Amino acid sequence: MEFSVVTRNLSKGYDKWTLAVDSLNVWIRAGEIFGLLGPNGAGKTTTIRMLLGLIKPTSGQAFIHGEQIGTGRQKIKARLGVCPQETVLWPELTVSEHLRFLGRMYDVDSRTLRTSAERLIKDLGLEEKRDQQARKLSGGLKRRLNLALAIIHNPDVILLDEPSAGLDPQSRALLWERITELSKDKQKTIILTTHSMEEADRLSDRVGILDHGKMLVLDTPENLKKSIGEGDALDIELESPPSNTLVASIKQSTGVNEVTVYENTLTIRALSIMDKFPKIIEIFSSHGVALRTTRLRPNTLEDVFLRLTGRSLRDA
Amino acid sequence: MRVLYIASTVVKRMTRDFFTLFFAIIFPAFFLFVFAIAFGKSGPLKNQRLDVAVINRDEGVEVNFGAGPDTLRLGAILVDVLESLSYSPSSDWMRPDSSAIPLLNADSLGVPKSTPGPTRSTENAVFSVIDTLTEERAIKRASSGDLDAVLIVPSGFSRATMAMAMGNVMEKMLSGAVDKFSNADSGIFTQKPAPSDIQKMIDDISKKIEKKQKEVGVSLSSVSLPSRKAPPVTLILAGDPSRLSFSMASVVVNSVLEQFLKKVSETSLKKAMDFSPIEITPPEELISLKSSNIAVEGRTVFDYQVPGVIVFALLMLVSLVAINFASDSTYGHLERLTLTRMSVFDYFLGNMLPWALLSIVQLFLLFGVGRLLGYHSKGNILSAIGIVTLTSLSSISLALIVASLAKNEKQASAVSTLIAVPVSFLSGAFFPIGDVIIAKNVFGRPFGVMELSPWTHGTKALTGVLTFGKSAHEVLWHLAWQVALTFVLFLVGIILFSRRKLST
Repeated sequence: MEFSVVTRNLSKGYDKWTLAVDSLNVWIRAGEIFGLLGPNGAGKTTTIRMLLGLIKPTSGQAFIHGEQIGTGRQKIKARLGVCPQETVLWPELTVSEHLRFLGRMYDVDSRTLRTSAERLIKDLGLEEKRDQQARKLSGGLKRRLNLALAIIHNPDVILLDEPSAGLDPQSRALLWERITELSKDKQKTIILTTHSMEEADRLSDRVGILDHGKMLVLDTPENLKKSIGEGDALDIELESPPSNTLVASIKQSTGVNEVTVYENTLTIRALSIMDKFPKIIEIFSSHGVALRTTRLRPNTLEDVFLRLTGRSLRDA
Repeated sequence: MRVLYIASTVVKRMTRDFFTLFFAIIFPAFFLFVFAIAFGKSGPLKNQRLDVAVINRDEGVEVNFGAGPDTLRLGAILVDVLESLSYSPSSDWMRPDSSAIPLLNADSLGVPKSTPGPTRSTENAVFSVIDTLTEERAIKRASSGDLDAVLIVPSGFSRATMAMAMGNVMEKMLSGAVDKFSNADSGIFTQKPAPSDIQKMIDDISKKIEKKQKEVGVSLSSVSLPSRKAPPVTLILAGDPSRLSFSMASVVVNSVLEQFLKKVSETSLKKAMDFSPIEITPPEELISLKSSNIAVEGRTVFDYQVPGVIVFALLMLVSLVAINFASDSTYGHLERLTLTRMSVFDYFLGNMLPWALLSIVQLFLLFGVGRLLGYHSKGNILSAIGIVTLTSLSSISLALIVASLAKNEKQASAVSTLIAVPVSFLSGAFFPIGDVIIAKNVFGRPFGVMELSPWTHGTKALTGVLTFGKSAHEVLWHLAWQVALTFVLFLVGIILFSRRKLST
């Protein structure tokens, strides 16, 4: 099997005591969408910047298509595309000028460049804005253009650092569609960093969860969700944190696989949980505890993160 | 090719950004306009009246040319000449009112104070003379900037002036006598006369003078010429040398004084001719003030400032270029570009070309605006392109250094302005600056601190080429230094920027 991106014990420390990335080992297949999920400061962007050769690793190696980052960076520049977390645009240049300029910097010939630029403008819904200067574009359109610049030279490996951060739902849906298309139809390898569980779940073939620079787990989203139990989850929010006796009573209830508590919320997992719902309500009543809200949902990567770290991804 | 794409992108950004256009094009042109008003042909300084206080301590000298004894007050006459000096409407500079010239003709000698001439113009007067102040008060007012200069005419001025004039008279008479007696027809003096022969000659002249006086009906005993011996005197012109108006006053007074003394001497000689038995060669044509050293082909202060303002505009580039490089770094443009196939060479050259081109646009624009506002250029603008390009490279190099050390574009802008404005002044872009000599002999010339600045050489070379019409060969000294200093700056800039902004 061919691996597009490989890291071996890749580490980066900004000081003597802490490692932003700690011994990262990943093997990413060609055409795969690899999601790096983690809270802010987990080491996602540092990993991306090491893969791009923008910062030197403290130890370990990274390879893109067999070329080691650092020594063989020049050779792989044209095969790498990056969509940075912050939109990097030249305010005075128009949409089409941006695409032409970046394409030229990658030595794309003028004919190919013209075709690629037109296709991207069309695919990303920028037709009406092609001659508009970047400073006059909305935030969503700027993010779309940011993505277009990452792929104008038709790279094999695309690194997307928080691509949907701050996007409106319409732009996000369009972006996800294009990312899927790039991977499935064009066999591009995509590394996607995000702190959105939904994004990682929906787009990624495999997800690695990073926290404090360490890779906690790495698997497909389905397997990760299964690892915390089969069935659905019922979130019950209370007025105050539940007592231990209440939690114990629910755990002893027939058919309940797991009960986790996070602040005022209990998450109960069980197969066919709706059948068990009347019994669970009865237990709350017998303990004289009033329910504030209830929500039935399938397991998510948030649950995986909560299980692994004891913290919610949103709060981390 | 990547260089050209980067350059064209920079040009697009430059031309679409009002801030850049304003500071690179409009601001220097506006600056030039302000300078033209202040110092140019159409500006008020051309007809600016200089306030000069006069302290006249001259008591005059007793003379009698046969019409009875009288007091000749040359100090007062000198003041009167200064007061009558006016800007000429037909020339680009100033000249004395024509009425000032007859003040010293034969008829006026012996008149204690002149009468203002009929054509004297107060509207175009160069000096506004105030003669009612004490010396202490006048100096105080000059120190506080209320007066442009204070002229102190010392006691004994008339005596010293006439002594000098009488010396000239005797010299001329002797010279005339020698000519007479050495005439080939007379056969006397075939060589330079011995002192005894001169004495004989003087005695002979005295007898002949006596005879001549009898003929014209004037008794020699009634003629009383001033002594040829008098203690030397010094006129003082006090003022603040940092003020341009004082420099102007100083130049004009010096020139007037020189002409005044010449005039007194020559008029005295004319007068003496009445008593001379010997034919004396009449004095040469008087030299008019217009051709004196203060009038240089109609040149104005503005003419010296146009090349300076061009260099100032090039120094303003430091700020713009530093902002450009710093924002590339701050906003991730540089990082994004380093991920492409662009090389460091592409980046630097692609960014430098448009700014160098802009400097040439600035040259043409400012030269054109300068000409419209009355700039007298003797040079060819095309010959200035090289100097301007070189100076713009100095500015770009400095901008690279600033951008390397600045954290963001705001800091780069502030630091550049802090550097560029003093450097403009110290490079002599606006006014000539006195330099501190650090080496007495560098390739046969003294070398000052400010000659370590390439902009100093840029200003001097550009002024030489544009204003004085010098050739590149004539400003080679400045060009050579400029090339060397720019190279050093450029090297430092490239190394700093590469290490601090481009390295991983």
